[in-house]
Amino acid sequence: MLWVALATAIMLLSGELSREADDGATLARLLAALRQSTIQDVADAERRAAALRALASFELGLAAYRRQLATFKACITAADAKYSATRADYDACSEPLERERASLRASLLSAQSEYEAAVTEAERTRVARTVLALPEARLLDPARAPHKAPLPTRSRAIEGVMSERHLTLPRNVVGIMYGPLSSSTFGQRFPSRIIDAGTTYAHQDQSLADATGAPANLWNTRAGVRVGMFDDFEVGALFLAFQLAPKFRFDPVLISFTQQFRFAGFDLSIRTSFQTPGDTGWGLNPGALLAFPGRHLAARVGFFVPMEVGTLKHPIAPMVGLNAPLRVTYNLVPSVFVTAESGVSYDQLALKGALNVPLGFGAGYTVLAGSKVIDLSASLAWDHWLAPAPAQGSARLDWRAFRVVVGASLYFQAL
Amino acid sequence: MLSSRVLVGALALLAVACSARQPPRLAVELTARATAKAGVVRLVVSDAARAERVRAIYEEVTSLARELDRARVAARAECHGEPRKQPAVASDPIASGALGCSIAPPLGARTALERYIQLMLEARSLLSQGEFERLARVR
Repeated sequence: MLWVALATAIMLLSGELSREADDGATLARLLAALRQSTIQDVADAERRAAALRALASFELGLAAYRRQLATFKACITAADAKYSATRADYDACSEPLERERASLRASLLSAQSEYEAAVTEAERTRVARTVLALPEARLLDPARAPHKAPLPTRSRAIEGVMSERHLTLPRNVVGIMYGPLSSSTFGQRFPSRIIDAGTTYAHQDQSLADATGAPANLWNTRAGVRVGMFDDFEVGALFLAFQLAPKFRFDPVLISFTQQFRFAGFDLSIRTSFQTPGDTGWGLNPGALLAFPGRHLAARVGFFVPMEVGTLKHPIAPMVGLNAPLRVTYNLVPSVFVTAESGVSYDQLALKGALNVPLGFGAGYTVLAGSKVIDLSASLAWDHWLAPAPAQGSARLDWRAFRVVVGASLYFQAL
Repeated sequence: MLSSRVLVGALALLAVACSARQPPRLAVELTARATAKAGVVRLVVSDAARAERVRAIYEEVTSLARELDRARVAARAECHGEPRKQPAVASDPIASGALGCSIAPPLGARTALERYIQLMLEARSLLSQGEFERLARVR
């Protein structure tokens, strides 16, 4: 709800909603100004009353115009929603509009004559000067009309097929994240934890657990929201984050901001993420992503510099890493996709031999439910699969530590 | 904590509900409906060729909506080329006829509307009733 309100606020601030609106409200403001100015500038009571009657006809005309448009739009909407609709259904929408518009124009011409007869030329000039000084008067004069910005090129609809999706959600689209394999959690690998949406089970055998100090079996669940604020700018937050076992506790909140640049055939984006303080203080994860969406096959690669920097109260030596994940997505059919992941990561540059090559696989099913798109997804990953140059010994593969994530994400249009 | 979140949510909802949102133009509504469907058409129509054509139809509607907008601007511009034009708008919005014409502009965009109807009828010929209804529920 808050995100919807935020999106609305941004659209209002950027003039988006008013840009999309019809001209009725602007005309109503102009008529109100005409009425006010006529009351002030027309001295003779009788002529003033006649002029105001003429203006009332304009106001009635405007109400009729708006009613006509609303009826026409409702009629088209009804025809669009009916499978059996024929040309006759559509014609039935436009024919009355034409008749009513002609009659409205005639009545407005008559009101115009009445106004001209009631008001002297000098008074008309004064009224016109007041009204034309208003910014709304640009509507009446094409020479003063602002040059409209070109329409946005990115569709504001939910992107359905996984391999066709861009790195950020389109404007006005909201995603409820409770599942892996989404863009906003791609590459969210911090020095001390890996963050994904959904319910996660991370396992490592007891010897590894003893060595790393992490529990052998760890359950987390994380959920949050992503919102396309502008055509290529997304904000996301995993704010319902809990460790379920071995001990319940609240996990840090992850917040990310992504700016995307779309090119022919690929997208580039810059993302900054941060985590609220956990055991290792604030976490930051700035980086860049490159994506190649496609009809069946898509690839994305990222480069991030994750770090955990402590807090003012509990300073620590900053832990800085490097992470370059790679994900390939293939849509077997439009609704079913599989993924394979790898890349390289160096969780802590200060530690020798911490270079890792992860390996992961995922799958998902995308379903359209009413007006919403739902991704049911799961992934299995070995986050420390290959250690090419460990501090001790030679290169080794490790299948003992793995992470399973399952969940579902839901997408809908906010407005 | 919970009550403050509920309060923020309620205030947000109130702000949305009370915002003086003006009705969108026809072109905006048509674009919104068509683009919403174009994004998910492949999830609904299993046959790739039909899905592609239906998607192309919805994408063409988006460009038609731009034409509708252009026609709307052109209709307003026509208001200023009418015989009752003197004096100019710049000196009198009523006597110039600009106000009346702006309130009831001439109906342009017949070609765009005609094409829209053709596209909508073609979409029906490509979709089964079930597919059509699933897409209609999107927006």
